[in-house]
Amino acid sequence: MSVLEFLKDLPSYNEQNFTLFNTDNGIRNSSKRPSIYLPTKDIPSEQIIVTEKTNILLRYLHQQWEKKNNNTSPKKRDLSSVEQNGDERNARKRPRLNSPLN
Amino acid sequence: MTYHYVVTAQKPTAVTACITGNFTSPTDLNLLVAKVSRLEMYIVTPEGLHPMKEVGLYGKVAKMKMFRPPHEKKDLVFILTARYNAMILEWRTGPNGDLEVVTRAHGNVADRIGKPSENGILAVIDPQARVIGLRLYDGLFKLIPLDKDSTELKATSLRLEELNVYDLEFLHGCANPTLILIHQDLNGRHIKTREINLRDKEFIKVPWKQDNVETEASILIPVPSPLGGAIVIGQESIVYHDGQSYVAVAPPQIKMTPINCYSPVGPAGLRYLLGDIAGRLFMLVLEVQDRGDNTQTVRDLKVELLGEISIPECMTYLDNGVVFIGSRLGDSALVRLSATKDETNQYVKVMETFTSLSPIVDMCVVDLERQGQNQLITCSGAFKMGSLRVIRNGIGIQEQASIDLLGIKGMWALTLQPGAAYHDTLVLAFVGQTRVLTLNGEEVEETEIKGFVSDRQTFFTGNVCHNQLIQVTDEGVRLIVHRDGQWVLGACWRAGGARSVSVVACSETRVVPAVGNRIFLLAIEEGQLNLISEVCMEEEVACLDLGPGGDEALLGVGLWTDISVRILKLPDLTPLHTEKLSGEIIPRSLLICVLEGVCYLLCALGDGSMFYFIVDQYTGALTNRKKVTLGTQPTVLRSFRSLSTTNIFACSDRPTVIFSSNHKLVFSNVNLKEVTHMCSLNAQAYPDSLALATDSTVTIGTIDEIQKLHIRTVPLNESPRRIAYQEATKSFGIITMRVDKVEWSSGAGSTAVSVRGSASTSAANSSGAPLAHPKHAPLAQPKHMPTAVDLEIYNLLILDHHTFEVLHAHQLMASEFALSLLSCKLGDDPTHYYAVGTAMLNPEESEPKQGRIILFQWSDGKLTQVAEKEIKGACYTLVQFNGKLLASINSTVRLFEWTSEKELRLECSHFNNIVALYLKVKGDFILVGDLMRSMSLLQYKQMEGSFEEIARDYSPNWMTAIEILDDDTFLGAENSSNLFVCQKDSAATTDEERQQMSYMGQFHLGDMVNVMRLGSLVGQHADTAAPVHNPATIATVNGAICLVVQLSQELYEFLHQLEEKLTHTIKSVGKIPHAFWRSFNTDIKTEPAEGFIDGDLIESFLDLTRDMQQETIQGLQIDDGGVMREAKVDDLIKIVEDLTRIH
Repeated sequence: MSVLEFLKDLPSYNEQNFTLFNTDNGIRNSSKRPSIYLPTKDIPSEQIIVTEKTNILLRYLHQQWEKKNNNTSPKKRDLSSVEQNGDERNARKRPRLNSPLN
Repeated sequence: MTYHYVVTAQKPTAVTACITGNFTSPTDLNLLVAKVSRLEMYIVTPEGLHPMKEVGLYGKVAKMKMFRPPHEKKDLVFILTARYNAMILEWRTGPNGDLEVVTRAHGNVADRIGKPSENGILAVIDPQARVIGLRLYDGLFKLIPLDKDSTELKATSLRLEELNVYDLEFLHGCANPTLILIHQDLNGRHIKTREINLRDKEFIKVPWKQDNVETEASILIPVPSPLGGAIVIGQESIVYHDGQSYVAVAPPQIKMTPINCYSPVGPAGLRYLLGDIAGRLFMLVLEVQDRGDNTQTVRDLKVELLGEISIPECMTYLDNGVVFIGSRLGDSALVRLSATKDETNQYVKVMETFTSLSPIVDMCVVDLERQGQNQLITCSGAFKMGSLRVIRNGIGIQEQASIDLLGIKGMWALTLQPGAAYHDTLVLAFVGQTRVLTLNGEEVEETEIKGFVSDRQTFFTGNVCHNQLIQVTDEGVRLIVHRDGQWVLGACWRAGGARSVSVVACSETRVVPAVGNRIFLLAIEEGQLNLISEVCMEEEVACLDLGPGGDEALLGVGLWTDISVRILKLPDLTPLHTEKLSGEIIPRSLLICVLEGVCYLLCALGDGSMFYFIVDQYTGALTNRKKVTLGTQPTVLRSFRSLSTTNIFACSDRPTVIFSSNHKLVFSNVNLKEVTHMCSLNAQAYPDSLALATDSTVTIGTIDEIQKLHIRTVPLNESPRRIAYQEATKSFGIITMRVDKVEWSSGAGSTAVSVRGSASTSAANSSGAPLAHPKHAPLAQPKHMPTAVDLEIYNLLILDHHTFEVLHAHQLMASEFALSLLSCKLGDDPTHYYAVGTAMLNPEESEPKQGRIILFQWSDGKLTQVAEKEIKGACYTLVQFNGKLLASINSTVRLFEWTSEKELRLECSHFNNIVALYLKVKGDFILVGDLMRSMSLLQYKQMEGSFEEIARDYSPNWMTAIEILDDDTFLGAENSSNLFVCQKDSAATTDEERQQMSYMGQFHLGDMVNVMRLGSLVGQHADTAAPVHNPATIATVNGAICLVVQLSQELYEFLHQLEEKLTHTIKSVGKIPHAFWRSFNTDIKTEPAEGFIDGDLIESFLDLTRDMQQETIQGLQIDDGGVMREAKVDDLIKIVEDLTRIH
């Protein structure tokens, strides 16, 4: 297989692209930058990325515990885990307070 | 207290990531380039890449990936910054047709605990856009599920058994998101796949794995469906693996240098471009075969070398065989792949390069032309892309055409075609003759105008009223009229007497020739010239110009002998005002013109200086007298129109454009060496242009709208490390590093072979250790080594300061690394020397134990080694200090005296550092920058001949550059891209307090500083200077150049308020707060920025609409001559524009 075949039929999105590129004057040099976008309009984010602050060990234990007690009252625990994930500051304390273990 | 302002003069140029996608519309093909904290969006067009928008982020881009959720028609961009801010961005066209960047999702994904991975941040997106995966900390893998419907994207960490992960990717065509990763343990590198259960957020199983894959395997390429699986790139081999089939190849071409980036060629997934760290481009092709059940499987891998490219950091296939190569080590490039080889046997052809200064390793600030304007010479780029960059600030002329012509004395553009809107003729005056050039499209040909004299020097020519031309020569004034389709002489005026015309001024309707000390006013009528009045001046007329005002205009006259400027009023030439200019230099050029509604009179003298005044158009009074120096030669002033405003061009050995901004004259250098004459030219082929004459050429070009940095490249093709300027010998000294290959031949020992021609191998002369036969024992070939290894060779190069030609190369010994360079004059010895500090590197030693300081003299085209001093360590810095040589050697700071026997003798030392990397001196004070113990200040006691440590910053800062701003204030940069300012407090009451430097400011620059130098790139001109002091220019790893200046407390407080208000007006893309971005941040602490104004944010005030500006400054108070009042938009524009002119 020769290099010719390697470079045959290179993918094309729009056949016109780069066809009018002028290289008559040798290699073009560009230090131009695009114009600057300065946002002044407040566009609220659709989504917020939050990071779960729960320790991964605690979460694992919870998951294990949930799996074990899967048949008893799944709905309640689902709720508690949502709360726990949602509230960052009290993430550590909440599970114990709400936990059916107590 | 001290207050500082930091602003970017040159934005970072290193390309850190690039992707191709449909970002701005479902059909647009875009290129998105990340340059540290800035994103540039381009669109691919038939003409090439077209820039669309640039966006600044308040964070350094660590990872940039694109993805397309199933419900989207365009691609979205996921960005993770170095400080763990995640964001999903969309480019869309806003209601008014402008492109806007929408932050679709954002949040910080940092964990409070966790060990940041030494292999860096890894970010991957599932091919079906179900989940984003991040490896930020060792042993943890973070998932961000991409739920379309929830308002919160909950990032969850999973435990990842594999600690040392080199790369990871999501596999294509899997029911559940499935990771593939390369990890290393004691036994080597392995690949492993892991399936993720998104509901329970856990790894469920390992579909397949492969232990002991390629050595140094570091890149995974997931192969799209239907093939699936992944390609693993190792140091010497490439493997395809999909769980069942395993195909490996070891192509010899890739052996020597590691591959560091790749780009798929199109969506099919059968072809890939690979780039290696030597800047070679390969293509990898998957050969497939039918398995028999209508599915395909990989049969073989083929690799072919396509050619040489820029050393890539990243690359992306655009369209029709065109690829963008992003580089951190030099210019990025656009290249075209072609099936036919070119002259140099390459299948790649460079189409366009994108200037990049990165990394700036060292620089010097010099006033090469001795004109009060500094240039910056940087050591930029590395390896084959190493270069010097000559950077100067000014207005640029974009050359369109040029004609070689000697001895031009004047130049004017005419319109000969009656009624035409464009100029079609250029008249050139020479001593004793005049030549006429016709502009025919882009072509230029010589012609004649009937009625024109061509055997005399023209003093003036132009189109005047009634469709006539005027020509003024020493014999008089000629009026040429257009009659019966051709030009003929209509009228002629001659001065009586023996004297001939010496100077002339002309308007549409009036011409004012001066003969000796007599001035005549002629009216230009249809077909005739009528004398209106005549006056006799006390002295001979040296220069004159007519102001605006038609029949009652003012005439400015500069006289010989009494060196004065007179204002006369038309039509009677009544004297109104006399202004004596001081000195004995005669006025050579005078101009009256109205800029921004203010009438100015400018008068340039024979020595390159210029006076300027404000003229009262009624009384003729000259006020507000100011003087500036524009050059060293007689200056010719001409006005021209550009972008519908009037500007002035000062032609001299230092061409300058003078324009008015906020009713102040601003002087801006032009990036041309010399201009003797100029005129506006608005020809059909050259619209809105200027014609500029030098001694030997006429150049037609357009002028930049604003002043900016102009960069010239001097390629070296090897890594420049240090630069020093020696004015006395008109030379630059450069330390470079070249990588040679050592080749062992059987029995004959080793030979170092240079890989390619570069500055040190092509120097006019060379000395030092010879290339082919190292004096020391030949290197024994180690067992189990490749047949060639890299050898780093250091050279001292001497370059001519004008041509940058390499005059001499001095090669240092093998395994000797040159670390410092200085041009110095020591003791009473009048000779200027280059001092080079080196280290002998021995791989077994933890730090260098040996080194040298060598003194060279460059004179009469010869480099002589004058002295050599053995030292016990690496000489990191050399500084001239009190006529002696100060050196930092490993942990010590040592002072060497230059004896009359021409030897370096150790005078005293200071030991209190881990590694003393940087030194700066002022008077008797020495600032030392330590590897990890911040800065300390030493004082040299001349009497005792000893050092005393007088103050120290006790914070654990890992320094990258230091500078002394003033006697008490020290600027430092540390390796987490922060700047800080320390001050010594001599007035403190206790010794303890005095010994501690206090923090005056801290700021996150967002780029690592490599070098700081006092001075700025802007010449200081009369009244345009902003109230700032002690400028320091700093340059960074990513090719940015910034300026730090000191501010008064009042200005600081005012700008601080403006800064605060701007953070509300300007919304951050990615929603990272400005205060978070600029906060001083290291591994161990994060503290709010203080004592620094973010000049980049301040300057963006000028880019706001007037309404937004008004809204922003609501409630801002300004001090107006001691009285506080509400600030107006124009007040702010004036202040900020002044600040923009400091860089």
